[in-house]
Amino acid sequence: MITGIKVRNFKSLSDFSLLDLPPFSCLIGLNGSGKTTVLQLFDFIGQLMHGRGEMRGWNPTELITGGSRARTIHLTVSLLIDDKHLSWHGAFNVDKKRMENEQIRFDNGSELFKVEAGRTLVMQGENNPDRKDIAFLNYQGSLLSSLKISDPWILSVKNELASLKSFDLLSPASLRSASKKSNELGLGGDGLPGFLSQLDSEQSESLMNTLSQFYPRLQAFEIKRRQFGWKNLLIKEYQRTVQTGHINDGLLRILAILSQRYSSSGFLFFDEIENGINQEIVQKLVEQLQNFRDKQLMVTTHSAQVLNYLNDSAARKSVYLLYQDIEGLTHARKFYDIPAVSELLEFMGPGQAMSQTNLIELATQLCQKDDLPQNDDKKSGTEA
Amino acid sequence: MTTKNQGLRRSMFFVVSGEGSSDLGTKDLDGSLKKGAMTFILDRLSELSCGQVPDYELQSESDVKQLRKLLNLRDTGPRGTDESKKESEKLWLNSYALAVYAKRKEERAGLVYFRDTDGTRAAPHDRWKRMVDAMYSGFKHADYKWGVAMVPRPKSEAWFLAYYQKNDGTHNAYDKCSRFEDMSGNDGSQNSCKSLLMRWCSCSGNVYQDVITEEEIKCIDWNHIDMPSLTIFRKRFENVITGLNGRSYPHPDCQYTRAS
Repeated sequence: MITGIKVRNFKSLSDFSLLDLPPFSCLIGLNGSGKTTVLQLFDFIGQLMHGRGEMRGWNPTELITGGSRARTIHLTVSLLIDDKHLSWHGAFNVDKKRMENEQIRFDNGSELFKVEAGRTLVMQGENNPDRKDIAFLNYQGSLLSSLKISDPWILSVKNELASLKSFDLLSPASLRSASKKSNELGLGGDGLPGFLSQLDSEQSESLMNTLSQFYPRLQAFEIKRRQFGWKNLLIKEYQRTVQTGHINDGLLRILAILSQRYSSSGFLFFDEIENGINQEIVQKLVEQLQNFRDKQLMVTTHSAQVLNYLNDSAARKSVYLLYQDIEGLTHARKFYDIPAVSELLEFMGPGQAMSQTNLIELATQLCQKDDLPQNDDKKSGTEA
Repeated sequence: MTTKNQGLRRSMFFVVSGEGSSDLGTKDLDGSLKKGAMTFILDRLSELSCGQVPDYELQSESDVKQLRKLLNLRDTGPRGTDESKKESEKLWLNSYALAVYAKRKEERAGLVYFRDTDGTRAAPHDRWKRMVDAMYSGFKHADYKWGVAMVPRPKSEAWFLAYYQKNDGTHNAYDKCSRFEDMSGNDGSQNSCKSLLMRWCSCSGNVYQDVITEEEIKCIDWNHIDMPSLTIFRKRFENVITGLNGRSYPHPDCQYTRAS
């Protein structure tokens, strides 16, 4: 499980951290506060572990915080694996598209793995560190992606990070599109029929059972196999078969989200989870998300209703406010730990408390409090 | 019961709001307040504190609903609110809306928000505290400092039992009156505050109309009644009255009113 993340020089995340992450967490904030950038950050780390030094076709130099001359993105991820706290951290060079420095260690400081300046690899042996020259290696992303790893701790860290999966806003057009068999869903939900086609019968049945709690009229989803391995999604309700093009957007999104319970990713990130979802089923969705098998979830939301279905304790633990200072740099706080918001939570639901909070004023006050650059003209009305 | 108090200077202004007509009063046809027993208590405390009786404007429950609508405070909030929070959420929103209204109405307008604690005998203190806290939190959120929560525990009748127990024959007025705060606020109960007050006042009708008149209320020594829900309200009200008159508070603001 990922318990924290720190980053420097990644887009608006110039000096940013999300700490104390629970199995389910939720990012809130104004448009442009940096929620999607956090999603991209998780995606970026996942890509590094697959040996990719770029993402989404972007030039890696575009990932550096605007205005900064830095050429390096510093990353730290804290993990909890089998009750042991470990951390992976390192520096990604945007010109070389790879992690030049990289380290995995236990929280007591003992080191398992270290890459120094892209030239030397140090692996902790039984007694002495084993040093190897790697200057000749031509790798991208993390060196972990290129090595045959036998140490179970290093392998676990690598696998955890490689299984980070972020989704952009799930697009109905992408979800509807035909696809070939695939064991993962694309960023916008493309490849859904292909992903569903590789589930085994037990997984399909379990998914259908959960889905029918949302849509009782639904009888089954089916994959229609076409030429050259292409697949289409069909659903059956009331003995009627509905073709992909006519399946409602909400059902497609719910199906895509729930199907990810059976993906190989250990950490899933969904953007604007409430999007296109009828308010009658938000409660069921929030319940499912908080108990997503053995996976860790992070979502973004603008919906007070989504937050209202969290109990107070879950809300306090899991909801992070993202806000920007006047220089456009993103910061995060546990939302319900902010005293003024915490007081509201005593008297109302988490969603109502968000509704009654002026997030613009609050951001200004938090910047003042942290002595961050902020707009002095903005008057503050709530004690942060 | 219409307001009298001739000869007293009227320069203070209070917005008052609360449920039910018999407690604070009702609106006359011209919109003025036809005072009820709780407003006479306000008059009396104000008179004793600074020799003045305030002018009032009653905001009925439907007025408050309208205020909330104007402020875009949704009636029920987003769906999914925990049942246990629905009451405090409503009180908070009402308090906030009333405080915003009072601030806009007059630069130095006071506000008294009345609610019975009601409920059963189970955990009346917790419920009362939650209600009072919600009200003061709403005032604070509006950045408003002249709000007063008037929340008898369990009901307004309990405050009068403290005095009228003298009619029982076994107690003197003001004896051990905090015990009345633990009574049932459920009017249907045989030993409710209301039925006991009716018995002690030998009244079978509306005790606030028939027995507890403005003159009777003036006879009660309010400082003598030792009931937390009354004392906290009284001290806060006296602080606001003196504060509105530009003087320093006579009492330290207690934990429930610290927000203001």
